[in-house]
Amino acid sequence: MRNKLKEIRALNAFAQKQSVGMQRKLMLYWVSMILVVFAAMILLLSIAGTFSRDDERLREMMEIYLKSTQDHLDSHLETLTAQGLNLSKELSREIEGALVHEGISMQEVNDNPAELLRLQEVVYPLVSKTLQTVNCNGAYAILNATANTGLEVADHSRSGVYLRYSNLSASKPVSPTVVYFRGIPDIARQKDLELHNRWNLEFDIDKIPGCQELMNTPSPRPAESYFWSRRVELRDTWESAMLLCVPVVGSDGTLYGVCGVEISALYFQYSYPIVERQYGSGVTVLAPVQDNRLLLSEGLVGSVSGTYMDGQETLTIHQGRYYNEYDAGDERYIGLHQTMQIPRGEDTVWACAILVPQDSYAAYTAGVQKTWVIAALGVLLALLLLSFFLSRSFVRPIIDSLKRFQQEETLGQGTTSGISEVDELAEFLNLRAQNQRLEQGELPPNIADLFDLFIERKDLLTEAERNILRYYIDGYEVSEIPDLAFISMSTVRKHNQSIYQKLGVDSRDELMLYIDLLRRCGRLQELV
Amino acid sequence: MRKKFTSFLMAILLLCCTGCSGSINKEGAPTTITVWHVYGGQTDSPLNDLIEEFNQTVGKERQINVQVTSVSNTNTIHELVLAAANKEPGASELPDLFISYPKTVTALQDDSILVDYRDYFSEDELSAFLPDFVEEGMVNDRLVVLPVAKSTEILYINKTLFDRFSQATGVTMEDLNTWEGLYKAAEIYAEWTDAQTPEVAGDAKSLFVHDYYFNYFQVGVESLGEDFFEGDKLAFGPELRKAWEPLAQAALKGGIWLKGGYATESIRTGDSIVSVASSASILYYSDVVTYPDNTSEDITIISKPCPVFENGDKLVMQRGAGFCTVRSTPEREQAAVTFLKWLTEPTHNVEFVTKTGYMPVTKEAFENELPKAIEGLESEKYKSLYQAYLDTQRDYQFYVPPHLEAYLDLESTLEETVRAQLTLGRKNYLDANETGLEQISEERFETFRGIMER
Repeated sequence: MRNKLKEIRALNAFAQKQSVGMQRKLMLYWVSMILVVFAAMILLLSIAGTFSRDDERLREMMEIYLKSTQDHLDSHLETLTAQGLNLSKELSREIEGALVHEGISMQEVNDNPAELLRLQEVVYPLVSKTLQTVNCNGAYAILNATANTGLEVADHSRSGVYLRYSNLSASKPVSPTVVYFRGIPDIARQKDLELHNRWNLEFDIDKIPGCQELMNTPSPRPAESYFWSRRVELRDTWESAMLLCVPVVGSDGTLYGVCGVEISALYFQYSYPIVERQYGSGVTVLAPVQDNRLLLSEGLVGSVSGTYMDGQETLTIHQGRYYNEYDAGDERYIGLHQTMQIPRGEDTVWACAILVPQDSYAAYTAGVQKTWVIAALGVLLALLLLSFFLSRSFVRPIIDSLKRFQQEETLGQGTTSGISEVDELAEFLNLRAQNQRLEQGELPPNIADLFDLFIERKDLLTEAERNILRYYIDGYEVSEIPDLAFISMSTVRKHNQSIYQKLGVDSRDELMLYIDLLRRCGRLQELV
Repeated sequence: MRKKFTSFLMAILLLCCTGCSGSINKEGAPTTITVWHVYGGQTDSPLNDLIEEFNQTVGKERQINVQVTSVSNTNTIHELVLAAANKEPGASELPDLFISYPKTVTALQDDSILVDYRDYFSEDELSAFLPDFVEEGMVNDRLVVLPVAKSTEILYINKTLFDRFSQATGVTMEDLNTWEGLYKAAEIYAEWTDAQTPEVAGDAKSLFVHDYYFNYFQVGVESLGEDFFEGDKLAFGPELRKAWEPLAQAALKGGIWLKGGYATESIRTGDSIVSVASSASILYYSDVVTYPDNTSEDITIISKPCPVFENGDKLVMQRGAGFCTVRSTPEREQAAVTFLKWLTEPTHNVEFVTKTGYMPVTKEAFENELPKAIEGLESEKYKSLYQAYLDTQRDYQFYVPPHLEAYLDLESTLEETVRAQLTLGRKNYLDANETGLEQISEERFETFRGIMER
C-alpha cells in the first residue's frame, strides 16, 4: 500500500514537471464555465418558480380528497334523509292513531292544550329516538295546530317538539345532554329535561324558509316534497343550522305536520375536521352556488382550525386551469368544488368544496422555491469558485513565464513553464533570436567571444610588437619585416613568439586566420 | 477581474432575496385555540362577540385564532373536564381554555394538566387583580383558575306579575327582604293562586324558586353564626334547623318550585315569579313569559340584594368561575394567555361583564371603567341588576366557600335530597288533606339529615 502511494506521488511529481497541453486545460476550463452557466440557468428558473409550482399534483390531491369528502357527505345526507322519511312515516302512524282514538281531526286540536299535550306525548318518544340514533344534533316534529288561534302570530306559530344536544364536542360523548328547545314544558319536566335558555312554546315556521310553502301544499307526498333548507339562525341563540323538512301526512292526505333533523354549524365542524397537508389546511364546505358565488353563510362549513375563515363569507369563484380561486375580498382560497344532488326545496344548486387558504399554499411554494434557490445559488457559487481557481492555475503560469521572458534577454536551458506550447514558443523565440543575429552579420555568441578576447589581448602587446602586427595586417611576410622595421631576423622571431603567446594563438597561420576573419567581420580597425 | 466577480455575485444574491421575500411576505397559518365557556348558555353570547373582536384585531396581528367549541354551563363543563382528565372511554378531548370553578379543579386527580398562571403573568400583572379573586383561583399552591368575572346571588322579581299579586293581597316587595318574609309571601301566593280555581284543588302555584339550596343553607347558617361544615360533612346544628323550617312550610303549602333545572326556566313559563340565583343568570332571564295557551306577556325583571334572616348577618355568596388553561405546547399556552390578558384588560373586562351581569376583576376596572359603563347601560334590567350589586357591595359581606374535596359531593347530594324530600312532603301534605304541617316537615328533615350524614 505504501509503495503504491509512493508510486502515485512520484508519478504526480513527474507529471507536474511535464508540460501539460494547453488544449486539455482549456477544455477543463470551458467545461466548468458551461456548468456555471447551467447553474445560473437553474437559479433563474428557481427564482421564476418553475420547480416549486406543483399545480398539477395539488389538483390531483384535491380531486381525490374532494371525491372522498363528497361521497361521505352524500351518504351522510342520504342516511339522514332516509331516517327523516322514516320518522315521518312513524309519526304519521302514531298521530293518526291518537287522533282516531280521540275521535278528532287535526283541525280540532287547535286551541286545545290538553289534546296538544297528548299529541306531543305521542310525538316525543319518536323524536327522542331519532335524535339518539341518527348522526345529527337535533330532531323535531311540528304539528299543524297551535294552542291559540286568536293570537296575531297564530298563522305562523305551530305547536311541536324540538330536541337538541346541548354539549357537542369532537369525540361524541356516549350520553350527550338533550335539551328541550320547543314544546310544552310539562313533558320536559316529566322527562327531567332542561329547558333551553331560549325555549319557546311553539315553532315560528316563518323562520324556516320553505316550511310555510310545504305546509300549504295540498296532500304532499313525503318522498317527493321533502327538502333541506339553507342555513338558518336559531332565533336568539349563537347557533345556526341546516334543517331537513319532511311532511307528515295522514292516510287520507291531511297534513299532520312537518318533521326532520338538524345539522348545526358546530356539529358540521366536528364531523368534518380540517385536513392538514403540507400545502395548507383544507376546509370542507357544503354551500349553495349562485351567480358564480359560493355562499358560505347559507351552507355549512367544516372545521376551520388553522385558517381565518369564519363561515360567513361569500366567495366569488374564478375558474382556473388546475384549481379554482375563491375570493372573499380580503381573504383568498384555492380549491375545487363539485355540485351535489341535494334534494329539492328551492332551486338551489348545492356544491361540496374543499378550500385551502391561498396564503398557506403560497407560503408552501415559497418555501420550496427558497430551497431550490438556495441550492442553486450554492451550486453556482461553488462552480464559480472552481472556475476561478482553475483559470488562475491555468493563466498564471502563462503570465508568469511571459513576464520572465520579458525580463531576461536569454533563456537558460531547462527553464520550463509546465505548458508545452509555451515552452515550444520559448524555444522558437530563442532560435529566431539567434538566427536573427546571424542574418544581420552578427556572430554567433561564442565566436564573438573569441574575437572580443583576441581584440582585448592586443593591449598586452608592446609598441614594437604592435608595429610588427601592423605589418602582418598589411600583408607583409615574415621575411620582409627585418628590412621594413630595421631589425634583425632573430629579433623578429622573438617578437613573433611574444605576439603569438599574448594573443593566444599557436602559429602564424592561426594569427593570419584571425586577422582575415576580423577583416571579413569589419572589426579589423579594433585591432590597430 | 475580482471586482467584476464580486459585483456579479451581489447581483445574484439580490435577485434571490427579492424573489424569496416577495413570496414569503404573507402570513402563515394561525394558532387555533379552542374554548369551552358558559357565557351565554345557548343564547347569543357576549363572549363570542368579544372573541370575534379579538380575532380580528390582536388575533390577526399575532396569528392567534380563538374558536368557541362549546357554550354550555358549569355543570356540563365540570363533567366533561373530569371525564376527559380521567381519560374515561368516550370522553371528549380537553380544549385549550375552559371555564371552571375551583371545585372542578379540586376534583381533578391531577391538576398538573393545567397551567400555573404565575408562569405567564408577572407580579405586577397579577397585582392588578383584586387579591381575593386571585386567592380563590389558587389550588394546591398553584394559580390555575384565572378570574375573569365575579358574581354573587341576587333576588330577581317578575315585577309585572308580582304587582298584580301585591295589589290583590297587600304583600309588598319589602317583605321579600328577609327569608321569613319571603316564605310567608310564598304561602300567601300559594293560597291566592289556589283560590283562583276553586273547582280545582291543590293547584297552588309557586312564588319562589332557588337555584342553589346548598348556598341557601350554607350562607344562611353561617350568617346565623354557626359553622355549616364539620370536617368533611355538614354540622347539622340548630341554626340549620331554623333555616329549614320556614322553607319547608312554604314548600309543603306549594309556594316553592322544587323541580330540577335552573330558576330561569320556571320564570320563563310563569310557573314562579320570584327567584334567587347567580347575578350571572341575568343573561338568561327573558323579558317575556309564555303561558301554556301560547300567549306571551312582556314583563319587567328587577333585581334586589339577596334576602337575609331577620336575626342574621348580611352575608351573601360570592362566586365566579375563571378560565383554566390546559397544558400543551409553549406556543399554544402563550397564545391562550395572550387572549386572557386581552380579556382581563380593564376596558374589555368591563365591556364583557356588563353584558353578562358579572363584576370585573381588576382594581382599575372597578374604579375607573365600571362606573362609566353603568351610566351607559341601556337595558333597565341590567341597570337594576348593577344597582342591586352596588347595594350588596355596600351593605353586605361576601362569603367565599371553602375548598373542600367533598364540597361537590355534598352540594349535589343536598340539592337532590332537599328537593326530593320537600316534594314528597308536599305530596304527603296534600294526601293528608292539608293537615299535619309541622309533623311532615319534621319527618322530611330527619330523612334529609339521615341521607346527608351517610
